[in-house]
Amino acid sequence: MSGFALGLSGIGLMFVLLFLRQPVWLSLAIVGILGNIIHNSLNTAQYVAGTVFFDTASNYNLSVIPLFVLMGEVASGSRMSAELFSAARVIVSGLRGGLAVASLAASGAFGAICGSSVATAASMTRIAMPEMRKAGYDDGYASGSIAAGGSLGILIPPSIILVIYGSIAEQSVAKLFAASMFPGIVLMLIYIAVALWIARRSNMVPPEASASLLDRILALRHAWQFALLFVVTIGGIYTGIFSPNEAASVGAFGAIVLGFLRRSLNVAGVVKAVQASVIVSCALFMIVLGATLFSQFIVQTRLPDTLLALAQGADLSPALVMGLIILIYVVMGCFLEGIGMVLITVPVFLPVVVGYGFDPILFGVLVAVLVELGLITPPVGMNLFIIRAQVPDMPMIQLYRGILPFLIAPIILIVLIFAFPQLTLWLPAVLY
Amino acid sequence: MTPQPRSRIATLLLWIASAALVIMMLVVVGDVLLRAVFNTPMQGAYDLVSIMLLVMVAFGIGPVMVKRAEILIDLIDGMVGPKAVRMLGAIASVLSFVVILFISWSMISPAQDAWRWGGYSLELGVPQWALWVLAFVGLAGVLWGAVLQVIGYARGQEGQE
Repeated sequence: MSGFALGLSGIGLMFVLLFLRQPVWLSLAIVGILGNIIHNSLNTAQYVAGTVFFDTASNYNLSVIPLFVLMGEVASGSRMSAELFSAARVIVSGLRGGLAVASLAASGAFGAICGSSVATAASMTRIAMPEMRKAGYDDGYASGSIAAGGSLGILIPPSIILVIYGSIAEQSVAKLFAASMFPGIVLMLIYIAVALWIARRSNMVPPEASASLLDRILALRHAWQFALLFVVTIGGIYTGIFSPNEAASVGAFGAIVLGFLRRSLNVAGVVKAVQASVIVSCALFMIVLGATLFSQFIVQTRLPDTLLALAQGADLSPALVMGLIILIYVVMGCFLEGIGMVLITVPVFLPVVVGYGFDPILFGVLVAVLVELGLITPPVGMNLFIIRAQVPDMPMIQLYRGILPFLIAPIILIVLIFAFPQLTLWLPAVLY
Repeated sequence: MTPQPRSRIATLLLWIASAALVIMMLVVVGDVLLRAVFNTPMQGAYDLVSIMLLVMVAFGIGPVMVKRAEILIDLIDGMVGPKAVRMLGAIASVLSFVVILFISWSMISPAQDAWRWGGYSLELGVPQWALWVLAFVGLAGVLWGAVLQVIGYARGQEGQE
């Protein structure tokens, strides 16, 4: 069997294992190990497997993952997201659909200190959903706006997905964080525009009372701790004061100190946040471990090179190749979990994309947007399940209907990224 | 509240991994503060972070397995009955054990190399073999976690704890 055929068979086997409910890390590791044994020898497979655990687990650059996860867990556990929502709802009060806008804005802001969309969607569902129900919002509209907002955590820095992409694509995490800032803000604005448009054109949302200008200004003070954390961590990275690893540590430590100062966190809360961070981070490290074995095998088969040669031989234009790759991501995103999807696809697609002259930083941001889209795309959008788990009396079909109009936003953003590459590439070029 | 693993060993492993994460954070914060205030970086910060990350990952994966907190795609759950889902879970836990065993076995040779030919961490001069020992101790916990998973499925315990 040729390397190309073996590589494709390996990918096929991996999808079968994933479909058969085998953990993502395990599916990747089995294909990586078996593939290496078949393609090379048992000794080669042993050599790769013997060093991958130690190298991955002691990789200084990957320490940023648990530290940012910890910052997000502490921020979630210390009611920071609730205060952001309270501030946002006063600031945008009077708008038809204001609570949905507040939820989106608070999610975007919370995403700026928490790299996890799951944490953002979970905490925002707890906070915003009861308020929207109380105000008479349609359940589908309310849950759709929360699911969409929750996905912003992946794109707005710090983003765990971008850290993982940076490690496998060998790209600077600081540059990726800079590149994703404006697309993240633009996406939040498009989501808000969609929410307002639906609110104006339907009877899903009742009119709301408006707050005074003074109340709006006073509401801003509730967001000070968020602003402080954001300026210290992401501002620190952008200005070159901190490395991503240092920013994550200072951010996590700062979130704990702020939690104690505001009396919204105690020792038990810190222990809970630390233990949850360990579990989440180690589950991610297991996938990184499996993906390293898998990508070693894929590289050995020369599958990416062959795909690139095939595409160039068929005289496919760069736009068509990128369009096909985006289509594959969209389809996969309907069924696969985000981080696994990145780890499976990037080793295969990145060489092809770079071979066609696309910037790897731009591709990283694009991948993050596509993962975001996957998080809210039925039937397997993770954020939809998170909301459903917390609002069990809402039919899933209503959630699916509610999210549909919001799916247009990431698609518009993808078009904008290609129409105006500077949206992504300007800030890293200025800063680094 | 984060559910605690049922096994005492897994609980101990989780506490060790958690302590490593906290130390990692404090070391970096200490390094940043020392640099900012005294213009003197903390000696060995890089090594300590790498070692603590190794401890966190090596000791933290066991509890992940015991809690069945691995990320998976449960698309098939709606198509097959609970018995089939449990069987697939049992297969996953056996396969996990086999793969971890293979990885552990493969690590023996590079660990022996680290013992024979030395090698030390860059800043603190910690012998590489000592770090491999740490990794093996953690992996023993991972194997234990995989065994508990298999036992859990055999006893018919459902899903995550």
